[in-house]
Amino acid sequence: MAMTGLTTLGSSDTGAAGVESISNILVVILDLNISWWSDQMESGAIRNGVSSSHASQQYSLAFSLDQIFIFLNSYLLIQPNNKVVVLGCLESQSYFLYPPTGDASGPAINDSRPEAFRMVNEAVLNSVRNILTRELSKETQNSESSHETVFIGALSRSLCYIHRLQREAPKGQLVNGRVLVIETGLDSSSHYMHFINTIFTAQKMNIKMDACVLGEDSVLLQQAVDLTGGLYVKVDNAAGIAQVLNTVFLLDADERSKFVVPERVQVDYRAACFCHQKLVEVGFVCSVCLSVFCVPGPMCTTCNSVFKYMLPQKQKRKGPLTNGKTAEVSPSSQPAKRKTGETQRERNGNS
Amino acid sequence: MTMVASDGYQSIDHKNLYSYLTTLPSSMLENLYKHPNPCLCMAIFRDLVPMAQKFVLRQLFIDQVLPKSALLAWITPDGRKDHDDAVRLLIELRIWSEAPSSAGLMGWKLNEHFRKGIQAVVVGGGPSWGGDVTPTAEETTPVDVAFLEKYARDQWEHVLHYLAGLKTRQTASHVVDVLATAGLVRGGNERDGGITQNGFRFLLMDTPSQVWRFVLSYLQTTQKWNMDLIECISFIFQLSFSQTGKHYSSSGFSDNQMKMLQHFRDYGLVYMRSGKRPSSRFYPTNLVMNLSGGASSTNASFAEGYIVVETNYRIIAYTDSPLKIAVVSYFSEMLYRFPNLAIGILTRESIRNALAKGITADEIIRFLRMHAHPQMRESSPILPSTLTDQIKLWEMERARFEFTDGVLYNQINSVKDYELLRNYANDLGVNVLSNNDKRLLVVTTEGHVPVRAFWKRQKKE
Repeated sequence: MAMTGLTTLGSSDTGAAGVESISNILVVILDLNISWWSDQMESGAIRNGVSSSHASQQYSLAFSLDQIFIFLNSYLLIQPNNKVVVLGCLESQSYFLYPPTGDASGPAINDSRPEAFRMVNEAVLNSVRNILTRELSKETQNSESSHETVFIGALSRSLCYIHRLQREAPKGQLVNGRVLVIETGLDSSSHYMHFINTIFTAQKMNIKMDACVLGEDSVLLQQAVDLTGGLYVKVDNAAGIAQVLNTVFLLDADERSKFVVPERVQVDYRAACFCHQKLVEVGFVCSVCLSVFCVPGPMCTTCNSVFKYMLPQKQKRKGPLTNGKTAEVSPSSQPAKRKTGETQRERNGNS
Repeated sequence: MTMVASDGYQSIDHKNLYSYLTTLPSSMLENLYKHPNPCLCMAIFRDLVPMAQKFVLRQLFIDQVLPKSALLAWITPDGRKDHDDAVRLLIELRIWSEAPSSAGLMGWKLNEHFRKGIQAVVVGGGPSWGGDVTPTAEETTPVDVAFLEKYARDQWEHVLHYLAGLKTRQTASHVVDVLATAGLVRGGNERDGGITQNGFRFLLMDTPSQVWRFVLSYLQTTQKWNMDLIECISFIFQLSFSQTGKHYSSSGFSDNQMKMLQHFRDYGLVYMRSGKRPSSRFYPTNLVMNLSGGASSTNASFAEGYIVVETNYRIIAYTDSPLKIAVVSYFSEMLYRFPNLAIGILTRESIRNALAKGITADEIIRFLRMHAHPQMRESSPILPSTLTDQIKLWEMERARFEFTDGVLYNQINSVKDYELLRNYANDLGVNVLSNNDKRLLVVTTEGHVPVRAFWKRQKKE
């Protein structure tokens, strides 16, 4: 009796000793791609002119922001120690919208929202306004803009932010981080390497990445979500952003086993090649550093290993490999074309 | 996460808002939701279990009855138990009522007033309820947050001082009333009732839990003073959602609200400058803000740590506060007293004394961990496990007997009858004790009625 008693004592104690309280932090990365939003506005205006139906498929930034605020407020409402951080992300830059970095003051409106909620909403709204006016004035000079948004900046900043909070948390307090990306534009594969490295960091930090896509399906985000075990949802109805966000993305990690959540999508594990930043289905892989290329070259641009192309007859001889300095990319008869997804998984296992 | 601390406090009534609200008549609840100030809906919402919160949020913008089958489709088998709990809770609080949906299926209807309240909080647009913040320019000498925290702590300790029987200052009569309502001191005509069992346990809790329970019994006490309960509740939660370090104006407050403000000043929930003419400005402190998260938000940000516990059961309290020393001496034997520290020792006797007062081992351990000295917190586990295990063992040795009410069946004549009866009791799961040699059987009191009925039927046959 006493012995069994003792073992239960010990286990219960260590369980409770580590964590005294848990605080949750949700980082929302908001895609503010100017050309996408303005395209939406224009096409929305045209369509609204033709058919006066308000429920068009087009998004307007102000309306979408309002819906996102509903989500943020709901998240803050659930628990007093829930915190949000909002990052905005342009074609090449990212900004902290909340907590605001610069002066984000605007007209203070008192309404039925609690002060803490209102502060978040106003700071985000004002920062978005400031950033967009600044960018739009710049935009006139070079009208060259793309629908692509680069997320790495915002992603790595959010991971750093969570990491800092975790490190600074008093002993016994656990900080749970989660990242939600609300994407509008198209994927940018130009920084694929950095992107996927950031995702692996998130995976290591045990941070789930969720993605809510307003525009086209995003291959990169699907990969990110799949690797970190998050949720991926594509919103079809512009008027229903808040409902989707509130239904799916309020659930925290341990609630997701209790609720029916959107199924995992079949993830397209195409990697971007290192030479032209294209997403390739079948590519050439350096056997030393696992870099992916769309066309075979004489040497690896990443690790500088010289590829020795062996002729078919040499294959029989099985020449000894000099330890890693020269590596065979492929016998030319059998090109080392591998599904890049496999590489990805290998890399995943290595990291 | 539901607070571990909430377990076993049944005797200190109403560990959270929910258990308090369910004692109210249903018309009262309806009136609470109707209150123009949505902070009440918000406070109740925060007190819901996570799954119930998600149900409400999903239904918030859907103006239809939610069919029960649709609700079940949201849930995986793992979540079934939580689902049942959440549904029960929502019904008890009258947030959900049963209604037929448009397709004729039975479903759940969200209380319209509650929906409006939560919508107002999340979406905004309604009238402001945070109180008017007067511009800072008016303030001649601003009050900083550190000062407010110290003020709140001092005032609250004063309340605890009274409870612990250490009289330092005159204690206001309403404090005594509230403590008596909570059953923390013996009430009655004689004011010096002394601390009760629950009072001891109350002293060992962390400050947010203490304030939370205190405020709930304050609400009960206001009814004795013939104050409007709804007005009181909404006022408290309005305060709890304010911002620390900011000041609010009390102009336009009703008499009741002014009265409460004066009371709260005594508890350290708000700070008001004392001057010749009454100031209309007040500063809510962190004590009242902790209320906004319900009882579960007792974020155990360790109170300032002062206790060092050694593996040799020696306990060193680096404090000169008589209150803290008094609390530590509830479960330890005090040995020495120095200007800045007191040393005691945990013995079987001292722990048993504490246990006899109704304090549980978990409460003692929690208290020690919560007030552990910063240097203690570096180690993991914070408290030496020999010590925590020993305290638990000392508690277990008091609980070697388990008492179960039951009914004895004996003098059963035949073995066959006995076995028949015993098997029936086993099947029902009401068999407490059976002795085959003496042919006697003890069943629980609930089991007595069916077993007797069975026996009578059996005898007829």
